[in-house]
Amino acid sequence: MSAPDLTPPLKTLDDPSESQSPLSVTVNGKNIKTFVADRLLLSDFLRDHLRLTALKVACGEGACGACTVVIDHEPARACTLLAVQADGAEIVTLEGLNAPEGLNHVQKIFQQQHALQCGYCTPGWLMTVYSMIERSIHPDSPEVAQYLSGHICRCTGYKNIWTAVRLALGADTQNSTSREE
Amino acid sequence: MTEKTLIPAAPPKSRRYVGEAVLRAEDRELLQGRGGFLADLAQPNAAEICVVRSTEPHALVRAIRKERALEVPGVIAILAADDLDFVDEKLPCVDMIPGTLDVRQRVIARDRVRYVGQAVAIVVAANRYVAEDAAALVEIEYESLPPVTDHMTAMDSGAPLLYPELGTNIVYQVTQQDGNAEFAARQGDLVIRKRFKFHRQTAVPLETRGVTAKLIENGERLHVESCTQLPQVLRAVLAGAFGLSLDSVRVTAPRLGGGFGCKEMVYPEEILVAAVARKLQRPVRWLEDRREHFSSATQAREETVDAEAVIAPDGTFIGLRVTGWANIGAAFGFVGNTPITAMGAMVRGPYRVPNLDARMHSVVTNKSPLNVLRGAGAPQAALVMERLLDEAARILNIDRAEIRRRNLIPPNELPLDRGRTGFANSYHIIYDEGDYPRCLEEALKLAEYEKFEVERNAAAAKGKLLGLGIAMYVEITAVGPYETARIALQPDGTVLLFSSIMPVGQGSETTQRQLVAEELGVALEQVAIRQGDTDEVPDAVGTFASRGAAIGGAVGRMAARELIQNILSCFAALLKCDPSIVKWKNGGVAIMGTMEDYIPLSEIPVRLRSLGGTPESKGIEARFRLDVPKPSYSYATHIALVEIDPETGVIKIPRYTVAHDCGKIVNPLLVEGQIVGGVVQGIGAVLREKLVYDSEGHLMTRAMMDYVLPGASDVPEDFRLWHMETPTSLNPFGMRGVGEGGTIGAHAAMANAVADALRDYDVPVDESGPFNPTWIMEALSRPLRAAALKMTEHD
Amino acid sequence: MKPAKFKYVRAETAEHAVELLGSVDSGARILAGGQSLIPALSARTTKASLLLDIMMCPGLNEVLQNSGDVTIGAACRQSQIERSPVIQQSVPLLAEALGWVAMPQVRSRGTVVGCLAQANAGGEVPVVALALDAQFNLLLRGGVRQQMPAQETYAVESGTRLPVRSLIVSASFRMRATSEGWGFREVQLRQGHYALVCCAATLLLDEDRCVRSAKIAIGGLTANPFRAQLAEKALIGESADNDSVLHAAAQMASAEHPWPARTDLHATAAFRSKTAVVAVARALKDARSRCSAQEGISLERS
Repeated sequence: MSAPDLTPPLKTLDDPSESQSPLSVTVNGKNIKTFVADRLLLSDFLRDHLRLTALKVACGEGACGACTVVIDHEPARACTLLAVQADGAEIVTLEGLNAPEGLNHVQKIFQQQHALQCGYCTPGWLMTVYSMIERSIHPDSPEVAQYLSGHICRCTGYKNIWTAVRLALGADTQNSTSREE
Repeated sequence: MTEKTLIPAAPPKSRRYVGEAVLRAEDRELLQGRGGFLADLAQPNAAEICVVRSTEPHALVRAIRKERALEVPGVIAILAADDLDFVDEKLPCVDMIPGTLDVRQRVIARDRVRYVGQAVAIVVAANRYVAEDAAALVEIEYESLPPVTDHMTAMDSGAPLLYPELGTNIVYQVTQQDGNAEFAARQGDLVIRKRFKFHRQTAVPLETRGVTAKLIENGERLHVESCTQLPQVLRAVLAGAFGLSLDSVRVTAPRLGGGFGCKEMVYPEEILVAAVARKLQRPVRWLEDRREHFSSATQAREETVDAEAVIAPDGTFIGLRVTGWANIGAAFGFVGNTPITAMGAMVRGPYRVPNLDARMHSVVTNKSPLNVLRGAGAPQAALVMERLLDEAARILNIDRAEIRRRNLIPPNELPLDRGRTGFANSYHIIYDEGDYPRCLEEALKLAEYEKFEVERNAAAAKGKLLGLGIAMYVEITAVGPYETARIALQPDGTVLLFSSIMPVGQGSETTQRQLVAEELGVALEQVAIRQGDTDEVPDAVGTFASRGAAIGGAVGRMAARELIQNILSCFAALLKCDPSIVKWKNGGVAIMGTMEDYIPLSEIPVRLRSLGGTPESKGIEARFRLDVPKPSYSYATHIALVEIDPETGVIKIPRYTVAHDCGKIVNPLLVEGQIVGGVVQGIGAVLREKLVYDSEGHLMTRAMMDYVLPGASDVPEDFRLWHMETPTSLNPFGMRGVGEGGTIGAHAAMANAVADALRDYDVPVDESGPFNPTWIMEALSRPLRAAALKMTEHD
Repeated sequence: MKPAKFKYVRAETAEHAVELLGSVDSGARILAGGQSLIPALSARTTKASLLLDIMMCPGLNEVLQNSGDVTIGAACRQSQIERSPVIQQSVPLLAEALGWVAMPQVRSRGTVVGCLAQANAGGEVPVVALALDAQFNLLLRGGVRQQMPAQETYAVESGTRLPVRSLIVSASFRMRATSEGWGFREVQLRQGHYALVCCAATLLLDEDRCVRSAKIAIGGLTANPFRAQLAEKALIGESADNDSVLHAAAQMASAEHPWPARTDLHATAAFRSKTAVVAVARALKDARSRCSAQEGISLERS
């Protein structure tokens, strides 16, 4: 048996029974044209093929939100999509939002509010907040709770995440404790 | 292994950090998605492993056929028990006492499977997709055996035996007593007997488990990387499993995406993945997926407790008799007997209850192995005691706060010996400093207990059932037996602390930097932390039992204190001067007298070189070993307010109050985070989370949509927190642990609140629920209590 | 949790998808948003040999407003429909119910028609389709087109009565009649989780605020949703302002389920039977409060 090519998964497709399709996708502003196995999950394409590992896979069924990325201006689960379904799409991952140096505005708010502990779910939350800001969601809108219901955090108990998200959406800082760095 | 970059923080006004809400150093990488979790680390040459798991709860393994699976392109190997060599194939359990029957788990099933999810074979393939394709084709021929899933049934004669050679399913028994264990009721005393049931839960850290293994240094050493809270323990187990010297094994652990006790375990996969790397002489990796996690990560909490309380007419508890049986699943976890032991040892909490007779048992069943989960047995202990208090208050018609006042241990009786435990080293529970009555009063005030009946009536007018639950607990924290740390002055004039405490989200990097920077009197940025590498910290205990900040922090700070002494000695030697004129001041070396000089930390390496001294290649170092003979005892009062919609059974939490004392607080921001996070975990546990097995032993909750965790909509609307800070004399810096208390208190407070909201109904609430909408609606269909009926008639 | 092998084909047209659907023995599946299908494939609880992605097919991503109804194409995503001014104006019941479907991060990909075809127990969209007498526009092999009412589609205990190898190309939802009120209520374990029970209801009142027409659909109680037609009939002519009338209707509606009430991991049949009454009563009250009670127009399709 010849040594099979190892990770990333399904990158080379020596197996003729492994069907593949062309994929053209824009990720963080960069156009990528490649071939992928039809069954390759978008989360694996982003994490293992493009090495964009900010998004995490935690439940594999769309329930927890750790793999959330922004696709065509909407937050979406990368673990419940095939890479090929993203053909023609514009994807933003957390890597695309990171400031060249230091933390961006929303990240700073999350730090100041202690809105993360283990940090595994955090990239997903940040993608949702990014699209909420893009949509100009009002901090008092009932939609905020709906968006937040799309993520599981096992550590923080959500209290500080609520505060951080509302501040990121422009809520009055008077209503929440702002901490000095 | 994680190396920390330093976060630029504003220069401190003073070099005082302990007690300050310093923002976390770890946040920068985490917020940028560069946390470096195990699954994020590139393993370009690693083959992927998929574990073939038992689909049978109880069966003999008759044959394993690999032929079809081996034909899948990309498959490298398929291995079962017979293909792997171990010197010792049993996983460790540290709480086996004399008389305990040995039901330690084997790393891979040999001949017999005892739970769904148990590892039976291993597929090694080019990637996980192919590995799963092949795993589906591995044919295992089972001969089914009758299963037993309920621990109370498992004790019946004639119940199926998991280990027929032992002749019983009861594998561990311990008796813990205090005062007069033969106590009996006198005339006029109230006796309450209740059977409490606790349901099975699991931790569900967002990050599942994962292991990589490879041979390093020309194949002479084994390097295993794992998502573990116990790297040093794992190293010893790996060495034992393969008959290797300790030095030839290196274990590293990256930052963990949550642990909560589920990673305080040495798992079969950690040994198996290493065995595969050794057998195939190639790097391999296994990443657990969530469906695997539900059946093969440890589970928690399930037990039954019979309680009998004897209570004087004034409400003071005379004695408590508890008999408990834990459903520990098919084999011992690393600390599988700890929850039931701790339950018996700590059931009295902060209440005097002079007489105790606790008899605890572990029973094996065909479920996944049980281990600790945040709080270990303390949530069960608090729930039993606090339900008994409320029940006594109701029967004796005493106010719920008042009956607690009458039973609390006053501060002048502390420290107090509460008797010998059944833990392996039989230590005595000796409560250290504290003020339990004040903790209760602060919480009552903060929760506005006085106005509760008004609120209850207002809610009733709107058709809602409001309930208030008070709960107090004392928990074992900051356990020993010891911890070590190493600290080094780096050539660039910073210091690097090698810590054995694993970052699981608790902010250990930040608290340890605060402690070290304060000790040295330098800026936070001058201190860096490295964690999770047994080559750097070979001897350590690990991260569990709320010991990270209190013990790990203390030993790091003591190491820094040693480092100062070593630096000063070095200067004195090089300057050939009287050591007494070289002092540590304002974060640097101050030389007194004729040679008066001041060298800040950042310039010390340069200055040492210019003085002709070449401190060993590693720079100046210090090591410290902190012996911890006794744990310390944190405590708290929780007051939960619940609002039940009697039409749907849905519960809201309008207010939640905590007054707590974890000794000296290093960082209030992080302490608050631990408490709020812990409380919400506890709320989820009693309102919703439940692992469900069918009667045959098949796990029904296999995904996150099945096992419903708390979400953002479940946060208490108004969360109130009061810190008390009574330093403990057991810790050099007065610190106790705080990581688990939120969860402990929430179980009992929520159960009492639910019982209170349903006080008009004849519902015993002698369980941990979960009090989900179905449970609530069933409770509301029960008959009204006699007292409530009378009131209705008067209306 | 990685899918087994399959072939993925981006269908050029709806006709193309249907032809391919018929050309493979059994393992071909239509793929729209994939929010139920992909996780099921990952868990390997569902198998497929061929996935036919219809999201790029021309004409399927349209919302068409006709005289009495609004037609939603099979490629229209839930978030798009939820925010569509046409839907909010003309089919507000659907817009409201979509707010209960999973979470925004799933609705951004999931389709309205996909929910109808999946018919998951606890799904909200089929319940709305029943309440609004939706018609499913099907395409079969050979270009055959066929309409199937929601009522007929879900007239089985679970699954659907959709013909095999057919594709729902669009679904037509009745527009809100002038002054018609609507309500959607759901009981969940946690926001974003499935419906334990839910109810979609509409009411049309006459000038005396008596019920001229009522539509009540209940989901979650049974595997497939059902219309409570006896309760609807009983309401006709009754005063909508009388709470006890609405409660009696809710009792009746919840009792007339054609299949056994459902017990699963999250709730018992007894719980669902009890709380279905509450969901119906609350939905009817919401509907009543949204009736403007002026000149009602006929609900019947012309």
